[in-house]
Order: sequence, then C-alpha cells, then structure tokens
Amino acid sequence: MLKKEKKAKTPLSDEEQLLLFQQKLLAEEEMAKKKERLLSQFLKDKLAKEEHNSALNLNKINTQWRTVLREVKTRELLKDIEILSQTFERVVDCKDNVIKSLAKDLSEAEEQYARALRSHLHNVDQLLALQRRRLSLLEESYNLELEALTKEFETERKTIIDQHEKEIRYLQDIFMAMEQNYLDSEYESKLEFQSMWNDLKNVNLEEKHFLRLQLENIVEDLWRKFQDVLKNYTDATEDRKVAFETLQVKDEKSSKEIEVQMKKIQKLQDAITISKGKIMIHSRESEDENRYIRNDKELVLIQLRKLKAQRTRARAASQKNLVKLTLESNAALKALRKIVDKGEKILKLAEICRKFETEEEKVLPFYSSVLTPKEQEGIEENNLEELTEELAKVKAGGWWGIGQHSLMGLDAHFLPVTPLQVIGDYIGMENFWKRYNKVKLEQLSLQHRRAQLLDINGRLRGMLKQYLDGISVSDEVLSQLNPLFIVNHRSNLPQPSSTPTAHPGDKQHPTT
Amino acid sequence: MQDTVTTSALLDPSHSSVSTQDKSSTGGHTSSTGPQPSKPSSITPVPAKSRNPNSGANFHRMRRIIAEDPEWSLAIVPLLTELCIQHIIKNFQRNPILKQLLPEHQQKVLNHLSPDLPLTVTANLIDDENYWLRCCMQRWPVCHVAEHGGSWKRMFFERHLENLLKHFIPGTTDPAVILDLLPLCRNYVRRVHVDQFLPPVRLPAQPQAGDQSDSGSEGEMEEPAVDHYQLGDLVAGLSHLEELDLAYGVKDCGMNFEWNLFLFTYRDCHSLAATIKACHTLKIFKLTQSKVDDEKARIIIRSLLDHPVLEELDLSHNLIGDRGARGAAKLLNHSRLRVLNLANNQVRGPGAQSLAHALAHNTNLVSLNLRLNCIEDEGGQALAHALQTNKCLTTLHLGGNELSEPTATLLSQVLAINTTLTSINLSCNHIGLDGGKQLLEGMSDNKTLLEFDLRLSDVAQESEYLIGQALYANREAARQRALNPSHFMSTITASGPENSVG
Repeated sequence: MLKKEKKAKTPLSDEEQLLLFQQKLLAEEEMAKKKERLLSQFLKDKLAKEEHNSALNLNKINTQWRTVLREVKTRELLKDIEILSQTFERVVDCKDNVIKSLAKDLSEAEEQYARALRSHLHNVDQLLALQRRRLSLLEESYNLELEALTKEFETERKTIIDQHEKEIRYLQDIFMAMEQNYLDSEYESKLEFQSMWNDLKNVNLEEKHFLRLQLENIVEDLWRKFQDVLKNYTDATEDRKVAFETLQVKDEKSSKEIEVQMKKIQKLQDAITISKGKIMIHSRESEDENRYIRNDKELVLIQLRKLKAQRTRARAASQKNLVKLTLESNAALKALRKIVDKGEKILKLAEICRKFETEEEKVLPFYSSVLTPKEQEGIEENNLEELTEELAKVKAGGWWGIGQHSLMGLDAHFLPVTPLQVIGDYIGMENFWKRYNKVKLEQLSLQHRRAQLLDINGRLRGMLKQYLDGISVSDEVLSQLNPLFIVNHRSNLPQPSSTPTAHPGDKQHPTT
Repeated sequence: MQDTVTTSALLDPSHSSVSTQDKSSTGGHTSSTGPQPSKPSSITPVPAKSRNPNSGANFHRMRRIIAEDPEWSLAIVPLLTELCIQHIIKNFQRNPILKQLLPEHQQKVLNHLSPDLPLTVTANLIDDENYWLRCCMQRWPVCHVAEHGGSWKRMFFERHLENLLKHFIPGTTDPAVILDLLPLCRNYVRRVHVDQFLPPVRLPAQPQAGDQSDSGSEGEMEEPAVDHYQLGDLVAGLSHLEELDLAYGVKDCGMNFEWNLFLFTYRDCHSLAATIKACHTLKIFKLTQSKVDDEKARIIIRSLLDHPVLEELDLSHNLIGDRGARGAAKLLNHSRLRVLNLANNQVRGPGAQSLAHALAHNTNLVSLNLRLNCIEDEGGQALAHALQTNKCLTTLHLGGNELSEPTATLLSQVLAINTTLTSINLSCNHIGLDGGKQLLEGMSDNKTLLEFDLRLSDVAQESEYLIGQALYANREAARQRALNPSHFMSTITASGPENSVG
C-alpha cells in the first residue's frame, strides 16, 4: 500500500486527490461504521437490559399472579377433597357392609359345613360300626363253621379208622379160617389120592398082563398072514420083471434113432430160413419198382386231366363270346333302329313345328349368337371343362346311359371315343338348342303374359262386380255384409260394443 | 251282658260254630258295643284264616284233605278248645286271658294275636318275643335287634318311645301322651336314642304393637320360645334307663330349614343336667351334634361330677373348647368314667394339656377319643407325658389334630415303656418321615400294641410296613396267649384242628 501510494504520488495530483478522496471516504466510512457499531452495541446493551428487566418484571407478575391463583386453587381443592372424602367414606361404608354380609355368609356356610360334616361323620361312624359288627359276625360264623367242619372231619376220620380196623381184623379172622380149611381139605384129598393111586396101579397091572397075552396071539397070526401074502406077490411079479427088461433095451435103441433124425431136421430148417430171406429181398425190390411205375402213371393222369379242363374252359369261353356277340349285335341293331326311329320322329316333329314357325324363323332358322367373342370363348372353355368333368364322371361311373347322351352309349367298349370328338358332335346340336331355347323363352314369356292378363281380368271382373253390386240390389247383395245398406236405421254389419246401436250412421270398415 | 253272651257262646258250640262261620260283614256280632274300631278288623283276619279252609272257595270244599294248612282238620265242627281259643283271641283286648291257659294254648293265642292291640293290655302281660317280633316287623321295615340287646320287646318299646319323643312338639303335643306310656315301658326300656327334638311351633299371629324393629336378622328374637321337650319326667320315670343318646336337631326339615331349629337353649341344658344328675342308673350319656359350647358343656359336666355309675361320656361333634375340656378333665378324676369321646370339637393345646394333667393320675379311663380337634404339638406332647405314667388307657384316638414330629418323638418314648396301650390312631397328622422313623424305633420295644393307624400321616412306606410287621407279631403273641389256657386241656384232637387251621 505504501509503496503503491509512493508510486502513485509522483504521476498526477488528480489521482492523488482521488485517492485521498477515496481514503477520506473510506475513513469516513470506517468512522461511520464504528459509530454504527457503537450505537448498535449500545442499543444491544440497552435491549438486553430492557429484556432483563422485562423478564424480571414478568417473573414478579407471575409470582404475584400465582399466589392469587394458588389461593383460589387451594379453595377449590379443599372443596374437592371434602367431596371425595365423603364419597370415599360412603364407599368404605358400603364395602364394610358387603364385607360384613360376606363374613356372615361365610360363617353361615361354615356352620352348615360343620353341621354337614358332623352328621356325615356320625353316619360314617355308624356305618363303620355296622360293618365291623357284620365282619365280626361273619368271622364268628366262619369260626363256628370251621369248628363244626373240623369236628365232623375228626369224627368221620375216627369212624373210618375204626371201621377200617374192624374190617382188617375181620379179614384176618377169615383168612385164618380159610387157611385152616384149606389145610384140612388138602390133607384129606392127599389121602384120597394116595388110595386111589394104589388102586389104579393094581388094576393097571392086571390089565396089562391080560392085554399082553392077547396081543401076543394077535401078533403071531398077523405075522403068518403077512408071510403068505409076500410070497404071492413075489410070484406074480416075476413075469412082469422080465418084460420090463426087454422094453428097456428097446427104449435105448429108439432113443439113438431119434437123435439122428433130430439132426436132419435141424439142417433142413436152416435151409428154409435162408431161402425165406432171399424171397423177402426179391419181393421188396419188386414192390419198389411197382411203386415208381404207379407214381408215373398218376402224374400222367393228372396232366391229362388238366389238359381236358383247359379244353373245356376254352370251349366254354368261346361259346360265351359267341353268345355275347350275338346279344350285342342284337342290342346294337335295336339301338340303331331306335335311333332311326328317333330321327324319324324328330323329323316329323320338325315338320309339325314348322307349321307353327313364324315367318322370321322360316327365314332365319338359326340366329347368331348374342354373346361377345370373349364370352363365347369363355363359355367354350367352360363347356369343355364341364364336358371333360362329366366325361370323367361318366367313365368312372361305368358308362351309364344318360338319355341326352345316347350318342355316348354306343359300344364304347370297342370304340374308344375321344372327348374332343364328342364335343364336336355336340357343336352340331348347338343350333338346335338355340332354336329350342328361343322357343322355350317365348313360351315362358307368353305364359307370364297370360298370367298377367288373367290377373288383370280377374281384377277387372271384381271391380265390375263391385260396381254392379253397388248399383243393383239382389239376393246375393242382401246376404253379404254392406255398410251402405241400411234397413230401419240398422246396418247388418257387426257393431263393436263400445258404440251403441242407435247410431246407424257409423261407417265401419267391413270385417271381410 | 257281655259275660253272659260269652258264656252262652261257650255253652252252645253249634250256635257259635254257626256264628263263626258267618261272613265277615257281621264283624260286630257279639260286641255291638265294642267302641274300638280296630277290633273287627283285627279279629276278622283271625277267624277268616280259620274259616277259609272250610268254607272259603268251592274248590277247597272239593278237596278232602288240605295238607298244607296246619290248622285244618277234617272235622267240620271245630273242637271246643279251638273255639275257646279263637274267642279269646277275638276278645283279648277286653278280657286278656293268657296266664291261665296251658302252654300250648298260650302259644296258639300268642301266635294269632294281632300286633295292633293297645299297649295298655299287652305291655306287661306278653313276654313272648315272637309277638313283639311281629309287632316290630309290622311297624318298621328295618330292625337291628342286636342294637337293643337282642330283645324284641325292648326294641319295640324303645323305638316306640323314641318315635313319640321325636315327634313331640312342645306346646302343641300333650306331654301326657309320653307320661302315660311310662308305667307300661319302664321295665323294658334301657336305652333312649333321640336324634331329633322338634322346637315349638311359632304361630303366625305375631305382629306386636310396638314392634318397629323388623329389620335386621331373624334369629335374634326367638330365644325364649325355642325350648325343646324337657326329659326330666321321662327319665325319672324310666327306672332301668342305662343309656341316653341325644342330638338336638331337626331331621327332614327340607324347605323349612332355619338355624333356630338347631338351638340347644340354656334352659334345655339346665334341665338336662338336672335330669342326668337325678338318674342313678345312667351308664352311657351321649349328647352329640347339638352345638354344645363351653358354657353348656360345663353345666352338664358339673352335674355329672361324682355320678355313681356313669361310664361313658360322648360329647362329640359339638363346639367344646378349652374350658369345656378343662371341665372334662376334672370329671375324669371325679367319676368312674371309662370312655370319653370329645371328637370333632374345638379343643386346643391348653385343653389337651388339662386333659393330660388329669390323665396322668387317672385309673379309670380306658378309651380317649380326641380326633378332629386342634390340639397341636403342645397338646400332643402333654398327652404323651401323661401316658408315661398312665397305666390303664388302652385306646387313644388322636387323628386329625395337626400333630407333628415332636409329638411323635415323645410318643415313641412312651411306646417303649407303656404296656397297656393296645390301639393308637394318629391318622391325618403331619408326622413326616423322621417322626415315622422315631415311632418305628419306639414300636420295636413295644409288645402290647395291636393297632397303630398311621394313614395319611406322611410317614414313609417303609416305616409303616415295619410298624405293621411289629404289630402283626404283637397280634400273634396275643392270640397265642389267648389260646394258651386251652392248649394243655385238650387232647390230640385239639392239636388236630390247630394243625389243620394253622
């Protein structure tokens, strides 16, 4: 700054003046600012003081005001407290009463309970006593019964034992007695036996002696007899012995012969078997050959049959063909005849029709087509397509004869016809169709005209009738409903119920 | 007139046979002056019964012999004795002839007598138990004759008297009804058991002129008018009375329940006290469920002091407290009391202590029942101390007394030295596991205790089981001792059944 000021001193006085002026201004500004600051500070201090004072005053006022309010509040509170204390006292009294009544109820309930408990205990004690008595009674009765049973048992036991002993003794006595008896009887029987034995022995000895003597005699007789018989027998058999020996020798001889013969037989048998075998072989071979021959024969027979069958078939086929040919030719003849007849008919019809032709038609039998060339071409194409379609249908359908296509019914089986050819045939018919259609159209229009005229006629008749009915009076008119016809102020039309019959002048539409 | 009629009937068998065979509609045939309406109905069944087999139904007539009827006989004309007996039966009420008859005739008459005969005639005349059995069965469906000493006659009179007392309404019923019965039943009634005393009926004409205080509770006005029947005269009249069992209450009151029906007033109490003091044959006195509090109990006990014969006192199910217990304790030593029952009262520790003090030097009391009081440990311990010196108490019931372990400890010491106690009941106390163990130790030394009830006393199962074992051993020993005297007398046969049973 100083340097700048120093630099700025030398150049110009205006600049210095400006600078000084600026500095003065700045200083003045600074002074003003200072003053302002001082003022503001002073004011702030004052403000602060004022605020402080006001706050103090406010507090003072508040305290004063609060004391006043407090007094009032305390009075109010005292009143409230009194009221509350009274209500509380009342509530407390109520609760006291409730408590007292509850205590009374409680004491009464306790008394009731105590009473119930006492009577229950009393009853239970009585029941217990009863039960104990019952038990003791039962025990006593049990003991009594037990004693009775044991006594019974004892007595029974005693009796049984006594009985047992008695019976044992009895049995023992019996046993002793039995033994004695047995011994006695045994002794006696023994003695008897001895005596009997002695007797028998003596008797036997005697008999033995006697029998011995007898038997010896018999034996001697028999021995003598036996000896005689033996002698006789040996004599008889001597002869037989000799014969027997000769036969024995013969037997040996014949047996040797038999052996030799047997050997021969054996050899023959072997030869037989060999020859049999050979025969078998030969027979087999011949059988095989026979078989082959037979097979060949059969094959040949089969061939023959086949050929015969072929021949018959061929014959039949040719016959069929022949028949068919004749039939077909007849049918063709008939058809051709029919066509000829048809053609004659057509010509006749044409002759008849010519009578009805107009002069125009006599002159120009065939009119030229009304169509444009394009349309014509289009029609032709369509016709071609249609025809081909129809042909296809017809071919697929199997050549059904359709009336108007009788031309096609000709023997197509043998004469395949191209569609173009057929269409060509049809083109020739075009003129005919044109004439025909024309006539048809005229006919239709005439019919139409006729209908119209009839209609008009009918209408005219109706109108005429109406007019005549209107102007004339007849029975028919009288019978019909007519609004204009009034007799005795009454019309014979049915009147509706809303309007009275005394208004004859009402005109209503006839209901017919 | 009637005598001549009867003699003429006796002399004229055919005539009376005809008359007996008349139908029942002529029931009043010979006694047209008979005022008792019950007589024809009572007489007609008897002759009808004897008439039936002879002339009842036609098909009976068809049968020649009717074997099932013991009274039937083929003779159409009954024997003269039969006729006489029937006549006696019919006219028994007017002319009770019984003692003069032969025994078999007496039996017949007794079998046919109607149970509805008035007691004036039959009470002192008929001693046959069968007749009284029939009377009882006719009147009451359930009869426990063992309660009345096995005598039907006694049962009949006792129940009859009880019935009258139960339905006696003081002020309405005539007391003469009961007093008239006295000469008839005095020889037979030994026990009076009344469990209902009706209060006097309050007539509805009550509005008193100056009575403004009709608010408040109802039970405060009626004290003076609720006295029940005073038993003084009755008890004085019954010369053999041994047991008096009373309960002041009303049964079957239903919707008429009021608390003042169950009051035992002071006047009742005083008169009762006087009554029992005067009765010198009374052995058993029971006054239960009557709301007897200390004052009333003391009044009664005062009158029982030095009673010559009283042996059993039962004041259970009342409201007796410590003062009453003190009175009872005093009574223990001033009378011959053997059984004292103070169950379900309000005796507490001090009361039990007084009882224990009396018990320590007592030589009469055999059974003491203090169950359902609240004597707690101080009472229990006092009683245990007393038992150490007591030598005659056999049964002690201390169930439901809030006893606990200290009592059990002392009791176990008692058990070790006591030789007279046979039955102790400590059920429903809080003895606990340790107490149980202590008791078990005590039981191991005791050889006389036969019953020790420790149910619901929180004693361990093991202790209970072992105590049970000890008790079983004691019981076996007792049984052997009971059988011992007979063991040496019998021969082999005695050992036989023993072997088979044992």
